Amino acid sequence: MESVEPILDILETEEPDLFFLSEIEEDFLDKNQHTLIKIGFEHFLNPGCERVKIIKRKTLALDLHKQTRYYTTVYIKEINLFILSVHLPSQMFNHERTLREFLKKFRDEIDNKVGSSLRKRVLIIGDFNINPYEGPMIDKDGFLATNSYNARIRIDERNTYFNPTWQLYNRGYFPGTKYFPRPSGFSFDITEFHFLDQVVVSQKFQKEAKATEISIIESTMKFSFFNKAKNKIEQSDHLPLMYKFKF
Amino acid sequence: MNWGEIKESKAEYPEVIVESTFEGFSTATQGLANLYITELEDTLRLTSGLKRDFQFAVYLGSDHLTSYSFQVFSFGYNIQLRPVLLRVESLIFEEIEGHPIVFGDNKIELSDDNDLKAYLERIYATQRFLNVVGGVMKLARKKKDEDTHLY
Repeated sequence: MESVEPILDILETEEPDLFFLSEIEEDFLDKNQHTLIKIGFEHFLNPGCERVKIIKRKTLALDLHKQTRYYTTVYIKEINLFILSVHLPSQMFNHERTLREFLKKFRDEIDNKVGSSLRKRVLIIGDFNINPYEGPMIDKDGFLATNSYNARIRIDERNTYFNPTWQLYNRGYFPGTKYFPRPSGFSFDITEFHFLDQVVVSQKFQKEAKATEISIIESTMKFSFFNKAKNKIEQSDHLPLMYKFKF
Repeated sequence: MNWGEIKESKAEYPEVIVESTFEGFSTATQGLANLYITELEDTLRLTSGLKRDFQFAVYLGSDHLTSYSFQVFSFGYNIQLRPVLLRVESLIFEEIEGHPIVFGDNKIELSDDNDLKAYLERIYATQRFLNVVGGVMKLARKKKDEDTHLY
């Protein structure tokens, strides 16, 4: 993204508390810090996470937790909520088994460092680089994310997470946030539309959150992010994903 | 059977060697950042990729950002105490190696204590490590100034 204008328009139209961006240079956000501040937001430094940057509402109090190359962890004390934003390794350069191993390790890190899905409010959002239905996302030796509200809460010793992203398949068009037709030897060979960008939540979050809503941002006041006539993503290579909730 | 006399190993614990490299870091960062070791337990041992009897991780943190952490590297060794296997944060490792790596390939095994210290110095000298430390210092100073004004 070369211009900051689409980002500003999302902020002014949707007024999020938090906005996570992938594949964006820190310098780009620092250069536009004054513009962000003018509209009530700021770039929030998260040293250590290379692949995800944070813009937040200026008045939102945020604590940094574990930072890695692939994900950033923040904590909102006011509502006792951990939020992780991810940009996980790509399917283009990693075999399915590698991604499965990565997702299992990621899940173990969350369980150990943040806490149990049953006892902690956790929300994870971002580019998982994998679809909700793929093995590394749903299997016990992967992330273990279910699409069911009333799923078994435990598979052996591991507790499930809930994946509301499945609800987005009710769109009658462009079933994904990313279009990729090029054969790669993995699921891209058959399916061309992918919900690589997802939200998953812990069971405690799912039980306690109210008025939850997952959606894709197709347009803002000034910009179109999805051209329905051409069935094409605009401004970026992914469609922005939004998740609203309250406690 | 005549056992004779079996001598105790004179090798230093690797975690003691690693911890010795932290000396001066807090001063160099004006007290805004620190390095610390924790022993890996439970499932973190299984997913560390080290597969060694004794496993540890080195984190970057700050007294002013109490919940912040960034894992710089992990290391492990078996009962013989040597060699030591290091698993280094992937971007730091890529900078030292000079090329991108296959996921999970960010490991190096060292048998000699001088080689271990030398490699740790290379980790601390990378731009990746210094950039993260710089970012932590910036945030920690802001927090420190805010807390000072409160009191």
